[in-house]
Amino acid sequence: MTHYTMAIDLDSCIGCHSCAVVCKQENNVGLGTFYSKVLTIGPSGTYPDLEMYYLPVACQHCENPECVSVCPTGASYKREDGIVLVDHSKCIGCQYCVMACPYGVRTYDTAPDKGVIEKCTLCAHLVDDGKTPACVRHCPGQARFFGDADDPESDVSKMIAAKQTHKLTDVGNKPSVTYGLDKCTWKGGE
Amino acid sequence: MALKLSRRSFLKASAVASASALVLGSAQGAFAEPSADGSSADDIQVIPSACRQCYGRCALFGTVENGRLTKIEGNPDLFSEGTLCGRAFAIPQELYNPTRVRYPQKRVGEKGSGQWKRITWDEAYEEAAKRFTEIGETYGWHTIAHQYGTGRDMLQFQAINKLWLELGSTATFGVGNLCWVGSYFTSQRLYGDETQYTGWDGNNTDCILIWCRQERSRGYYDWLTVKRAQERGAKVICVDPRFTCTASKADLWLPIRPGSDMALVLAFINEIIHSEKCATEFARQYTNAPFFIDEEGTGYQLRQSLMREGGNEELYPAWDEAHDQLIYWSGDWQNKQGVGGPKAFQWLDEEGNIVPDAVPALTTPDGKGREIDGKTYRTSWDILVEHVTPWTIERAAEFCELPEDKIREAIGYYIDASPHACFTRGQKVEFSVNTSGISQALTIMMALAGNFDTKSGNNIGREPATGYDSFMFDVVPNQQGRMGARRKQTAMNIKKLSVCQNTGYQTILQADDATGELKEVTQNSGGQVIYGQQGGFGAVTAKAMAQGDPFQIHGYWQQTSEPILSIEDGKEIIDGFKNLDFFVNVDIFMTPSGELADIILPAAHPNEVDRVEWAHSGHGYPTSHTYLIRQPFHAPLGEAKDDMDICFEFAKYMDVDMYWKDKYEFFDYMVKGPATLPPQLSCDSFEDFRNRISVTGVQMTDVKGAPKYETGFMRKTSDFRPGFNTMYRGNKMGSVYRFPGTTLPDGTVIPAHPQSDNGKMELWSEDLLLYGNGPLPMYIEPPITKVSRPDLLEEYPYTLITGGRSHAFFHTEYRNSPWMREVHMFPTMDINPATAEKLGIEQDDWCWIETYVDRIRQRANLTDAISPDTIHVEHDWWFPERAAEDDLHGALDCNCNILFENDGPYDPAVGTDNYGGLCKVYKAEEGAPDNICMTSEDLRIFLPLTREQLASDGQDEGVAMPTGASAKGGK
Amino acid sequence: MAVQWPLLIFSILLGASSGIMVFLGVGELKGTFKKVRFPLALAALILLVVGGCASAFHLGNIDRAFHILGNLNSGLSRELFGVGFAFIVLLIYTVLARKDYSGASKVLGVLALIAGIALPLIAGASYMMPARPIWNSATLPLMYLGTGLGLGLVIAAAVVCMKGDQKDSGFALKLALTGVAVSIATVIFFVIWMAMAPYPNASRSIDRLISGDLALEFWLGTVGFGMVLPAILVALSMKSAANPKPTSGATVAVAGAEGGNAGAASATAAGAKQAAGLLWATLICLLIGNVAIRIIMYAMATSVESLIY
Repeated sequence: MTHYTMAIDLDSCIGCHSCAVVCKQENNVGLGTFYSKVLTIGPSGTYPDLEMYYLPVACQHCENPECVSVCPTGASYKREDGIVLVDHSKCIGCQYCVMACPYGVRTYDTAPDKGVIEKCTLCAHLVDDGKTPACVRHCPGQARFFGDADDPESDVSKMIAAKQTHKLTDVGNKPSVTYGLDKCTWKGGE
Repeated sequence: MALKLSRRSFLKASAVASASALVLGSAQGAFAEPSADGSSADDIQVIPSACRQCYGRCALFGTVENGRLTKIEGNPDLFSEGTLCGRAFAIPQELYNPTRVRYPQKRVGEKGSGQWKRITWDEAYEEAAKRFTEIGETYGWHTIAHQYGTGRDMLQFQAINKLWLELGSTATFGVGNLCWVGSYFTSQRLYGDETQYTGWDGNNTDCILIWCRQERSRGYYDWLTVKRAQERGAKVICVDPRFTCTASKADLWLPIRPGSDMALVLAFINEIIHSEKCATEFARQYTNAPFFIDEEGTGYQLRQSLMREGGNEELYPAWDEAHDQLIYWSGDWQNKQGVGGPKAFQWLDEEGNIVPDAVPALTTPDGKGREIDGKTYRTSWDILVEHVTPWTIERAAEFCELPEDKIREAIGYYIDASPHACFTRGQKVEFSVNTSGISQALTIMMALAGNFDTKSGNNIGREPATGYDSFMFDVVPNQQGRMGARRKQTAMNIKKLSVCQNTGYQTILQADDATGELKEVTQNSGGQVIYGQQGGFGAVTAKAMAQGDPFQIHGYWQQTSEPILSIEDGKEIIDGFKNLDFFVNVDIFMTPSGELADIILPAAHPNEVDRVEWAHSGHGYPTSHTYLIRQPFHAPLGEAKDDMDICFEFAKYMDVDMYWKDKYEFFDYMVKGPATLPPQLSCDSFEDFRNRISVTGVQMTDVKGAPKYETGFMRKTSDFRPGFNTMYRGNKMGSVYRFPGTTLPDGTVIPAHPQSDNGKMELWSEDLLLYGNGPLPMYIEPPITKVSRPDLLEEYPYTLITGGRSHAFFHTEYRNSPWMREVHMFPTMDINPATAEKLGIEQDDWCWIETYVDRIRQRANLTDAISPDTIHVEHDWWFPERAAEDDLHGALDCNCNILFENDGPYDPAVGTDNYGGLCKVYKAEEGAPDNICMTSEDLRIFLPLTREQLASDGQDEGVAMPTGASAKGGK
Repeated sequence: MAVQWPLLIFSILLGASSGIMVFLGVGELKGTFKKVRFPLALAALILLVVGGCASAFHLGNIDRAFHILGNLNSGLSRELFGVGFAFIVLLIYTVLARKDYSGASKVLGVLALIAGIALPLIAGASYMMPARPIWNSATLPLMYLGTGLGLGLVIAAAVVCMKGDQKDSGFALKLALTGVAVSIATVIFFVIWMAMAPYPNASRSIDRLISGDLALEFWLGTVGFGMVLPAILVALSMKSAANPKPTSGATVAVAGAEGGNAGAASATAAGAKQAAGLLWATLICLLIGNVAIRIIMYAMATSVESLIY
């Protein structure tokens, strides 16, 4: 079965925030809201013996998404292809999912005409059009890979096979985004 | 292109297919006019163009709906491989920004009052022509300064430059001399091409030495090259005081003490020169290493004419090991001294016969000199070896505060990989008073490691796609004798007309080679030449404006620049601007210095004009060999005009012969290229080029199957002549460097010097000697460091470094972009957590950074990326949301360049000042500056204006600048 | 995480309402509190409705509330159903309370008892999310239940002391004492959980309560107002009900002069009044304690990895 997700090669990421900005263009994200952000992890150690990497974060499109379980209206849902979305026409803005998300990647849009939850859509509108998410296409480090995790030939599967991989802390939600990191010590939970 | 990741093939299958179809469909519709009304049927075009949001010039597509740009996407078919950084997506926010000037404006209030009224272009041009002519005729044309910034592009730089040189202007604040000209100038002088940044062959290399360069400052696609090299097993060495992104990716990081780079380069050269890898054959055949130096006499390279009466000044003696005889190198390529023609660039014997199998000796017996005609001469190689030999790894470790084993490891990587090692640098290396020297040292390092012009090393020639680069804009008319009379007169009298006339003869702290001891010496500066200008750089032009020294500047034309922010001592520059009788500013936006102008002319945004574009930030093949189209997404907003067109139009008002009818005539010439150009690289015209979108040239090494120097091309540049680019040769006409016959303070009289365009790469440099730097790269301690000013340490204990590049901004740009500001909201000071704790500073505290000159505020970022004794602050911060009357749009509060005085010393050749020093840091109890945007929400004042808002505001009363106060008032 | 004031108010009012329901249910089972059951039921109903309205301020699009039926597994949906159930029970009970349908009242009283225990548990359980270790424990719904019982039983006992049969006040006070004890105990359990929750992190470290930025909320609000003072006050209220102290010399003189049963009854009534006063004071302290522990509950509820927001 198709299981779309993303794999991010942290050894390639240069922390330039291009993904955060192109996402704003592609998804018309308002000021103050980010679907995608880049964190600087480190430098850790003592100058000059240091390690540092950048961690781009967005919705992890979990296999067992807590945000979907807690959503009282079914506005948050997971598609068959693995993409977790929010149907804004059903969202009552209770922000329950914001609390349930382990990663803080959902935001409540307080604009008067909105009052709904915003988050990374994995550019589902582009994916449905046979394209890749905007951040994947434009990443200056070519650090982002999109594809079907169940297909061993996909870009995602190939990156996962080639590198030491990590996931964000899993509290039962099973995040689907994989991070590759060979050159530094992973500082996140497993 | 080689080395694509699998991801690329995925892209090929999807996005690219549609992109290419769009490319074909859009070629004709490149000049979309904004529709007069929004009611017409949806007209959607996708236009291929280039980004000018930094130097990298990535290829992109713009989606234009009914005449308005709505989307930016990467073009996967060119060197940037479809990638784009955040700044590209800010283009629409720049185009429709509320701070944009869309109609010509005339100031109606006091300078800096922010009061303007709209005038017509005719009124603006007529007044400017009248006032500049009055000034020129009353005080002399040299009292009008002109200025261009780091450039919307190199072609408009040419137009501005030509216009004002023809008008007799000399002074500029300079631009590249802050960052880039040092290396370009030096590589031009040493081997005739401007390639210290460019031409590094990361695609094939085994080692990349990256000196103070960030992967994410400009042209991010270079990181793809570096990354692939690493994946292939190449070692990456990063030299940088800060643990930057590059340092974090490198195999080896050398956290060098700021300003001490020369000691490390000299250690590299020393180790290379004494290793088996040293490229002695290259030195012997292609450099001036075997030349004798007239040490006892003129100090110049020995010529036959300096050896003996009646000798030929184009013959450079050397010793032929093969035949134990004196031989002469003929540099007479112009055949003015009778040894040119087939004899040019050949070794000749005493009788003038070519010695095809000559083996010029690098050294003399015991390095002590060889006796010729009763005098003893050493070779330049002897002198170089003597100079670098004391610069051991141990000494470098001490100077640079680096562990010896790390230096040894780095040099080991580089030497082991040579001749398959390449070098690339950032601009901070040359933010020093020794910028020319450091560039010379790096050149010697590459040359002697054998990395010049090898596959996987560093190319010598920049080899633009069609063979012609932007300099031809000025070269062609000059070759045809079309230089105007006033420009010629100015050049002839430059010593009197240059603002640099009193500079030089400065005291510096230089290391004695033998002992390593720092000693005060007097440097005999020669009158700075800035990127082909006949004199002028920030400090001297500021003093001329503000203090009338050496003469008062009365008029000023500024285009694409913001010196108050980008040049040291912005406060004196403000004083200078207030002194001016007449000041025209050409810009896209309202800026701090624009508020002090009399007239503002609205410039088009780079994506509203036609250009031949190419990457400026120093790259390897194919980037270094590619031209691409930058064409408009739509006509300029309001009455804004292309900067080049403004120059051409104003030239008519001033009766200046620009030679070219308009920009297109030059573009046509440029893209057609010389007759020798392979036909597939030549475009019939600019329109043909527009249809092709890009042209990528071929590497000469591929064409000839040999290193370029072996083909003789090493010594040829854009005008296909040996030696320097004509840009500089043109300046030699006015003898801008030391005048023969001048007496120096120490009593030395400058001897006459013949030209030294002898076709050899100069390691020991006669030109740098003439400029005052000295013939060899010397260690100079920057004027304000722990070492040079221990007297300041008690009060100012921390080393202050400035200007590390930010990925959210490009110098002063994008402070008005909501998205870029949102990514990087505040001017940020990096401080080590241990230091911060000692000073009671917490993350995000606003702090004062104070030097003995002044103080500024930035917000603290606690990071181990910086040494505990060092502070880094960001450059070029201002706040467009603050009103004109409010600190000139906040131009001084956080501007690090006011922390430094502008009294020198300066690099003798290009005038680079010192941008680092010593500081103290303490928490700013006042917090952030007043009236600045503090939240994402505040930034909405900068959101793009709608079509209707643009149509309804004719800027009759100036630009309605949004303010931080209005952001908070919720207007 | 920021304090969610609408939800905080909702949960306190809901707790108080639930506590009153429990009180009423117990009363029905024991056949007591007839005199005050109507005002108490009405109060519980009003608290529930006001609380529900407060929680609606947390929503962005209340107009789409009918979609809440979309996922019955959601804790929030369950909470809504719980509130709906309690509302109906309370409404009917309130209507019946004015008349004398003892059988029906008893049934509904038992239903109210069940609702009063279940509702805080459901409300608290909806916060049990693996993403927020501080919340992901049964101690949280227990704390909701316990603090609700504290509030509701104290309110109800105070009302009994003021308006109810004198003979009921002793039992009511015992219930109030129980409520306060349960409230204190469950808050302590919750604090112990916070100290030992998995995925430890500075942002949710117990140090924040002991000596960090939440020390004031903890020591003064939770411990002082939420535990120590209510314990003292509720004890005093029991004491004053049992051994009414003269409120002034004049009262003693009057009581002494009249003497006899009337005097004793009057003294009992005065004791109940004094107890009511102390119980209202207890309530105020408990409310402060409730707000404080909930501020702490939100402040400590950082997610496992707060990456963007």
